[in-house]
Amino acid sequence: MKKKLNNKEKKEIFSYVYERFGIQENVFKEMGFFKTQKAIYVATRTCISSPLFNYTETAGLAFLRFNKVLKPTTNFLQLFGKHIKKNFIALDKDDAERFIRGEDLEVGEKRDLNPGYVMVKYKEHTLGCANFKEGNLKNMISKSRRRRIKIG
Amino acid sequence: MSFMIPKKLKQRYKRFIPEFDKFVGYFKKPQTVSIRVNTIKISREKFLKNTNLELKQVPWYKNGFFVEKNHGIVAHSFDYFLGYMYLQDAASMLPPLVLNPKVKESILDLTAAPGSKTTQISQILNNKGCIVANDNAFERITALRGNINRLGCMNVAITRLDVRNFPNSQFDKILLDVPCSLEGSMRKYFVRWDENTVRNFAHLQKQMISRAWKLLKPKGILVYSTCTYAPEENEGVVQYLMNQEQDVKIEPIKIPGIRMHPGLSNFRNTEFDSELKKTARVYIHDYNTSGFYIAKLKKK
Repeated sequence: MKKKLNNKEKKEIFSYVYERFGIQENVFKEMGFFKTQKAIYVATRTCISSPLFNYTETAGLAFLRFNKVLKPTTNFLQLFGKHIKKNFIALDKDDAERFIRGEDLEVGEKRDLNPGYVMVKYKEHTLGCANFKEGNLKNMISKSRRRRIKIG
Repeated sequence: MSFMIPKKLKQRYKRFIPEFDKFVGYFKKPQTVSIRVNTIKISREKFLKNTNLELKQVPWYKNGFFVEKNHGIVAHSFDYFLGYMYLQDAASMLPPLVLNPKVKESILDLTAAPGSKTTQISQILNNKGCIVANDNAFERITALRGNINRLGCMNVAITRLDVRNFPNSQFDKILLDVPCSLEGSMRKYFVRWDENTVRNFAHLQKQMISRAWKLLKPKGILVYSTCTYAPEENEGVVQYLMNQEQDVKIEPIKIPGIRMHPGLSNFRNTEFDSELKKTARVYIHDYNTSGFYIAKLKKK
């Protein structure tokens, strides 16, 4: 069952992504949001206001999943990563390849990372999401997206 | 993959496909692999600067490229993982170009999965507006969702409905890339071909185009496409629509950079309306792509 977010719910979402990642609210000004039991989705306003919206299975991208705390999706981070100002970590090439394979990584304590969900990058490319706790990055890339890749 | 052309198929098209010997020869050649740069996530220029692939421009689409070497690594590359590109046959990039979608228009892709053309339309619209992308099979919808997610398309809304029962609504532009007998994709897929298959698909396609026409606004555009040569599934389906409806106008197809063959005016004992010559055919030996048929229909 899909339900469009009301203004209060939207404010809470904007506040969460600002507090956690430093993404400004105006990045989302042309977008609409709805939720299902599992996730909050982001789509263009035109899609959400479509007369066929009630017939749709889904629209746009899953944005945040309802875990104990809201978890950003890899798809969302890859698309909005350029707007993220904090709680991100850049890996070197070997670790980036391991991360894409789905491995957890030990990175040690980082002063600029708060425990919780973080964006993982290689150079300017967003790889996805990890849960940072006690110096470890727990890999959150979905199994279907994991690959054995050699970065050129 | 080398493929032997079925004998009956050879007999069927000998008189109708130009440079027929060359056409038959291409069945033994591997099809050129091509990609589309996903400009939703990366600019064309930046992609070309960073990629390790050896690429050659597809002449009819600036974001399309033939892969000259190392085709095998495309789906296992860093760029693919990041959603910077999509593996797509160069001829299948044509229907969205013919549709020529605009952000303010309402757009319906009636048979969208696995999403090559839907995601291409999404990037043409610069991830704005809305495309209603429909398909009726659960597994195919899963593939469609996967591609939309990887490529970052926020302007796609997915429905899972039988085209023939699609709810009453009105669209400015509709893409109907119907399921077909896949004669133009025989080098890519294992295809069990016989004339019954062609007849069965033609029956289904007529029902689908009839419903699609009802969903089109006056002055709207419907692009009908297949990856088969069978006139029963191509000119025959458009002719059927013209016989049923009085407000069908066939528009000429002009895409810079590609020379296409005109639609057929007859096949076996069937004569088609001369207007059907405005529809377009692409054969495998033209550019070493899949074979395609495209018709651009305007509602008067």
